[in-house]
Amino acid sequence: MKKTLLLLIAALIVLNSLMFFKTSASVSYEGYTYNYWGEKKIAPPAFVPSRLITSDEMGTGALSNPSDLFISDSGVIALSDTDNNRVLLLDSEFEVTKKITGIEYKGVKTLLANPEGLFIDDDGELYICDTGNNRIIRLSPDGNVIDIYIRPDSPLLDGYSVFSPIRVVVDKSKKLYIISKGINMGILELDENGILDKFIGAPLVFVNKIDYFWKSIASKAQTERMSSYVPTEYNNIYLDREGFIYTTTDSVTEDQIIAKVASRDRSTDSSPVKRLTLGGEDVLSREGFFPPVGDVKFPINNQDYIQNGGSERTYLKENEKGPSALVDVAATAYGIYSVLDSKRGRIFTYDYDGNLLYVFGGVGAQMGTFLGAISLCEYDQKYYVLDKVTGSITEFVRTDYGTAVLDAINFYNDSEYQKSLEQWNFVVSRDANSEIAYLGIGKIKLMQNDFVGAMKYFKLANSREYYSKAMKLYKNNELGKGFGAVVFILIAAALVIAAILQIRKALLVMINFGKTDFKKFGRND
Amino acid sequence: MGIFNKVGLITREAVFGTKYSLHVIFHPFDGFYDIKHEKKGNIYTATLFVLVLILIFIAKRQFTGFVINTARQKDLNIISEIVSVVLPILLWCISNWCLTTLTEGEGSFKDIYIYTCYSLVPMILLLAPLIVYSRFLTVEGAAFYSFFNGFAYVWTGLLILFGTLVTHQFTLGKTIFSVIIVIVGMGVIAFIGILFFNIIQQVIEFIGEVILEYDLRV
Repeated sequence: MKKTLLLLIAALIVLNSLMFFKTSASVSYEGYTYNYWGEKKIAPPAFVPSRLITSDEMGTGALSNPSDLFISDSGVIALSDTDNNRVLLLDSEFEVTKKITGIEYKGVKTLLANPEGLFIDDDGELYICDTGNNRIIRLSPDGNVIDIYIRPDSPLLDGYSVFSPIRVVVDKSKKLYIISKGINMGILELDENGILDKFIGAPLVFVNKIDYFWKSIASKAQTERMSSYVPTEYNNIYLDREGFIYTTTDSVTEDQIIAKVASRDRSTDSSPVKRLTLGGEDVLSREGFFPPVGDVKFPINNQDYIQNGGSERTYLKENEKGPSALVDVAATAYGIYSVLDSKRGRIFTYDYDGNLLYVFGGVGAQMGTFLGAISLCEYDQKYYVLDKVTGSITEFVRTDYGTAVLDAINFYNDSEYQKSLEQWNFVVSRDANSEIAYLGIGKIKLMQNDFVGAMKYFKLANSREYYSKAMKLYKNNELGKGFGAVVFILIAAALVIAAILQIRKALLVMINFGKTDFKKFGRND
Repeated sequence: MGIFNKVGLITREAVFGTKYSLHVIFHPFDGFYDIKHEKKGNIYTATLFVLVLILIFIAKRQFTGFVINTARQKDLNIISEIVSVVLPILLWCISNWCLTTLTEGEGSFKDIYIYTCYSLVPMILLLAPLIVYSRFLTVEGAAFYSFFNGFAYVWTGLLILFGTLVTHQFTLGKTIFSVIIVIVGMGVIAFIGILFFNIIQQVIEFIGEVILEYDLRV
């Protein structure tokens, strides 16, 4: 008896200690998402860092304040090493193949000066924003200068003294779309010959009538201290495969972001990320719980600390306060896009409708975290993030969780509903809070005409629009068979009313034996 | 045995009074007059209405159809729901009683309480089935819901207005004026109440600190 007891205890100890041998990898950040109520919910990380490419590995010597990383569709990698005044071309192993420090054009040799944005078009032509020299250089794949674009000679630019291109994208017809420092009329559209066609995407500025009134009677000193109504400048642009231009800006104020989040605003006003047509219209779909702004809840800039119950305080660092500062965007198939928050080093990925899929990354010195995330690229299902402070590139690969989410979306878009359902079920098994998975399952159930099931999942997904859709279809469906139900309901209602009357009668009878005390209340019936 | 008797009587009065309330809400001028002068209303029924309204508001928050309901069911705070019904009613009654005394109204506090609570009946009658109806609504039907919801409040508001008119024997103009100053009065009472609590809190803190000082120094 004693022996078996000892054996049992020993077995239990051994079994318990097995749990310390976990097989899951730990990452330097937590994956998370935001639910319908704006609460941050920890989720399995969708992407994990797989490789840190330092300048030593690249073979380039230390990078100094690099600003842009570009990976073309055919896998050509370009990196602008801004403060070293050079552009680096790397092979698929991220080893340097070419260092461009200067060019020769029409017999004149010039050096690059603080080059920033890069773009490689479908023909392999490399466009460099030679910002310090106020020009854009267009190179052929073998490195010859095809053209140099300087400040266009256009009356539209009167009032702007400097043309300082920081980012450029080029479409199939060789039109250049340029962001220039200090020009806030939108994106400059230049044709192949460098002639300025127009500006696109200038954000409309709505002046609040009350503020206008105050401004009109304020003194000069007061006006200077008021926030000015200049359109926000974009800080980056990205051309997607369908010819739309994604833009990001980090100059939306904290108050504007808080207001947008609180009202779940779907408009394009004060949006940190937009998707513009070539005509300049923002067509980004913002049908998620909150507009795509990065972090939805954050300590405000005025807040110095968080009270952790009792007298414990955690003092907040500068980068823990305030909204996300979006500096780059990369889009993949089916309208899924990711934005890079340089303030907290995170990548937020949204689907076509604007639902937040997952968040990964962070601030720090470990692999997978950043001190100055500045550029985001997606290539071959991996993400690459350039850190301007450490001068290194971090490569992220999908986990099985991330693959399941993306596959579920892709299968659904390809109408392979059963496969999509399997993937969403896997997502739910890993993260029971995943409202996006419940939404996905609900949509599939809708396709399969399982209206009751669809309603159940849409409720879990907190999607009132889809729930309503499913309910409508359910009612239409049931209307034929409904007659019996209607009759039943009428009878049931009649029974309920009869029951209530009976109960009331019974109550009166029960409490009626105090009849003699009636007179105390002065009633005379 | 005596207490049981009393409770039974109170419940009886309460339940009896509900029948008359149906007449009142459709004929406010007769109804409120009879309540005051022929004692056809009683405070037990009035309180019953308040309790039922609390239940209905809680049910509304928890059971309204998903398409319209934006409340977070698991965050129900019953105290908060009860206070949000009882406090405005009490504030209104107290402020009403204070100010209508000044404007020579003829209603006593009991009269005010009774007519205010009887005015809540349309809300009870309309909101309860509305909760059931909302569960079968789609997004398009939300307009119907808003309409009936608003209608219930408007009806109640009108009843309170007419109740004030009849019970205090005002002219219409005087009624509107009184209602406005009563609402302002509610704000003033609430403000003073909060101020009072704040000051008491500070006094208690101060006493606590003095005791602590004494403790540490002596």
